[in-house]
Amino acid sequence: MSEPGRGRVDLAVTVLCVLVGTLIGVLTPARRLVLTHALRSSVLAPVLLTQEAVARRTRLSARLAVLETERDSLARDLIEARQALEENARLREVLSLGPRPSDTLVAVELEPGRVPGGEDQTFLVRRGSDDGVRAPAGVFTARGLVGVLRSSTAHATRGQFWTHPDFRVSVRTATGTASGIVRAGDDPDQPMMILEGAPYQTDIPPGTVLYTSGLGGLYPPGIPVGTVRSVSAVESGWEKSYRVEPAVRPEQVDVALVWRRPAGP
Amino acid sequence: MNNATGGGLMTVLTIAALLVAHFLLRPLLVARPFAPDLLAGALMLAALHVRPGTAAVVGFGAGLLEGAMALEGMGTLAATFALVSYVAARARELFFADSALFLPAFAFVGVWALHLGELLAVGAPLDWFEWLVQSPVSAALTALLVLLVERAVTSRPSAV
Repeated sequence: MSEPGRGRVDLAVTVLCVLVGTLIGVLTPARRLVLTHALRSSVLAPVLLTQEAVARRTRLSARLAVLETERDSLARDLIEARQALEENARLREVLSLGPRPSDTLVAVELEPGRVPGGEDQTFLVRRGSDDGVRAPAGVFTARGLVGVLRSSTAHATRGQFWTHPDFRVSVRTATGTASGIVRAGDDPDQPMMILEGAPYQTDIPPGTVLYTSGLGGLYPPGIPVGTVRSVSAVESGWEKSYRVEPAVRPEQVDVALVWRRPAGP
Repeated sequence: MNNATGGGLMTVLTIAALLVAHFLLRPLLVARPFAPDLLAGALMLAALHVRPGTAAVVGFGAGLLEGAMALEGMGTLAATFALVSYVAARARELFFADSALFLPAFAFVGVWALHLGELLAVGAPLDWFEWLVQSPVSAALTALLVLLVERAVTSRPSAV
């Protein structure tokens, strides 16, 4: 073919490419999506799989670093806890209180929102009374309170996150100067808690951490629940409510601990 | 295999490698606006070595894939890349000279034009900082890359 002829072919091919490209550009988004999906699942599949594998590896490396830090921190805490336990045992002996009742923690995996017919704020634990997991019992992590187990069978247990409207927990400040009941906030879009029933005369400054009081026997005392952020409402001369930032958000939890309270005498 | 065929195959492999590297490293490169644009580099290399029609087809294919990866501007990117690749290849036919400055200038202008076309194709408002600062820096780095690759792959361009 002569050079001018080849030039015309080049031009025709280019015009065709531009036309096809423009046609694709004016397709409806749904039809373009079909083409996009076809390319992403064929020609681009190896590239996307590689990118996903690299991203997963990066995430795992970051997670590993966090877990190693947590492990080191736990090892240090364990040494301190052993010393505290020994001191506690000696003190109880001096005070003739007898040995401290032993409680048990059972590690469980939470499956949020997967209970058939259940609500959004519930979770399922695939361990039941046969595994030593019995409702009702408090559920928490090292960072703080997660929720409560409500009903159990031999092999599964259903629980509620603290975001559930029925959830209540008795709390107090570290010094014990103020106490109250914490429930989920009213705005489902804002994962905040509300502290109710706090004494009117006592101000709880922002930044104060609230802990479980242990009243009711569902939760062990001393588990962080949240941090006071601001006054929510004042009921004249009687009590105050506070907005509380939760220590743990449900979406952060994969594995948690279930508290089995010490057996009675 | 004679030298011309070997050089042509090497060029095709280099262009393919640049395209694969672009799509593999896309998440990293997108976050770095001053990085060289491997896709634009591959298209400029193609425009240097193949006929304008073939360059347009390569640009069209690359534009389709880029649109599928970016999830926006699929057809318009393909049309724009095809057009810019064709014009670049035609410019090479018209202006190619043995001047040492030709290749970097050709790659720089080509990549810059491609970036402008890309901005227009996805319908984004023209960001002057991106167009006058980021894009020229990226185009300069890409031109340097094209120059290095071109010198490494072949000493003299040959049409495929």
